[in-house]
Amino acid sequence: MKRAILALAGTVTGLVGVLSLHPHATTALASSHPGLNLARGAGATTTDSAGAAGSTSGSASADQSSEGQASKGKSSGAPSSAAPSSQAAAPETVRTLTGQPVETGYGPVQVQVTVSGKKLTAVQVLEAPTQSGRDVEISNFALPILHDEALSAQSANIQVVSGATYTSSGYQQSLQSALDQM
Amino acid sequence: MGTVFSFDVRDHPDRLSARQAIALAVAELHRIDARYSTYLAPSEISRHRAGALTEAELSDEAQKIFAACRRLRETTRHSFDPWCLPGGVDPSGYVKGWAIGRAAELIGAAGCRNFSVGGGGDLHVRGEPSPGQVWRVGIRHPDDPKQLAAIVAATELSVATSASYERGAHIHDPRTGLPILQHTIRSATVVGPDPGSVDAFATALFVAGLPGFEWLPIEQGYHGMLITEDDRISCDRGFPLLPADA
Repeated sequence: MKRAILALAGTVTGLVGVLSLHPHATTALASSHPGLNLARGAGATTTDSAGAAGSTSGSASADQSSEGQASKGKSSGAPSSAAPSSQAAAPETVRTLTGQPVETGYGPVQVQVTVSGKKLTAVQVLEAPTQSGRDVEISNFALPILHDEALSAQSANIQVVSGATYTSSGYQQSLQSALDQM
Repeated sequence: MGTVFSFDVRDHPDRLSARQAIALAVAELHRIDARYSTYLAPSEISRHRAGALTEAELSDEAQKIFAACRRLRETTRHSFDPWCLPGGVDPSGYVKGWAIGRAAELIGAAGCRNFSVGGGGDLHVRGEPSPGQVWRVGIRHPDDPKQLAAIVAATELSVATSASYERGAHIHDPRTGLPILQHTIRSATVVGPDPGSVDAFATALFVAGLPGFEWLPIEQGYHGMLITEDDRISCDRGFPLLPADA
């Protein structure tokens, strides 16, 4: 599921790159990046279009994922001023559009884009479970079985113990109490 | 509160200096208790909870503690939340660790370089237990208070464990009659540089379980270990675990 987030971030930044390379190909963009709905007319929509960005992410993101949910949060609406055939006449209004937050299983992802005229000028991922995109590897292994491989204070040669909160009565039964008397 | 604090000062062949350092730390712990114990009606925190003091009227120190708790609440995505408890805000889950940090500061300021201080299951180690050795910190086995689940090695570290050691009743799958192994968290241990944060993170990781590794600030040196109902240990790769036979 983390891959979905990385793919999403990759998709969003990849789109910015693609758009800046083709600043005038609005119509072409609209067809090859249907998720962004740049060619839509008046009545900006902020609903997501499922699945569409999945195809766009293929070109941009390093970590390709076909998970539908990776695409959902990305498209965040269309500037109502966009008109496919009259790009020269379109006013350079700047709009900031915020997508719906999408629950991914590791937390919500929400994307905000800034559109200037018909050009996507900035993209920001507002909320993502792992902001740094780091990879956390978890090791999983068996708890030592008592009386067989149990680690006792003396054989383990420890000096101090971390355990859940114990009060003065619980302290007497604790290993720390035994260590303090050694 | 009845929390027992243990001090283990390894340097200072002059036992008087070690005792003096510990005495300073103990006095500080009493001061902290008097101000932040929710069990003492005249404490600053109790008066705030009763509505007699607004947050703005609290001491600078208390306000800094509240600010730290807010940051930790945000970092842990509210798995650590002193404000959601009935009875009013209760920062004890941070204050306990912070108090250990204050005690360690005073012992260090008194000239000690090799010591451990702990209380209520949280602890801080510094320096070496003996020349050339690292501190070996045991983590309590959930089934037996006199046994260990794991050992952590450290030179300077804060450690906190949050746990519920009673085993829950096994839920049985009616189709098979076999018990369903739970991933219920039995205990969560967090290690890292700041003792107050470590305390809050352990509480939060206990609440959040495995998804807590998403927000645990591993890049800042905080690492976590979970013991689950199915008798498994899960920890991130940076957790300073020693092999059982080390």
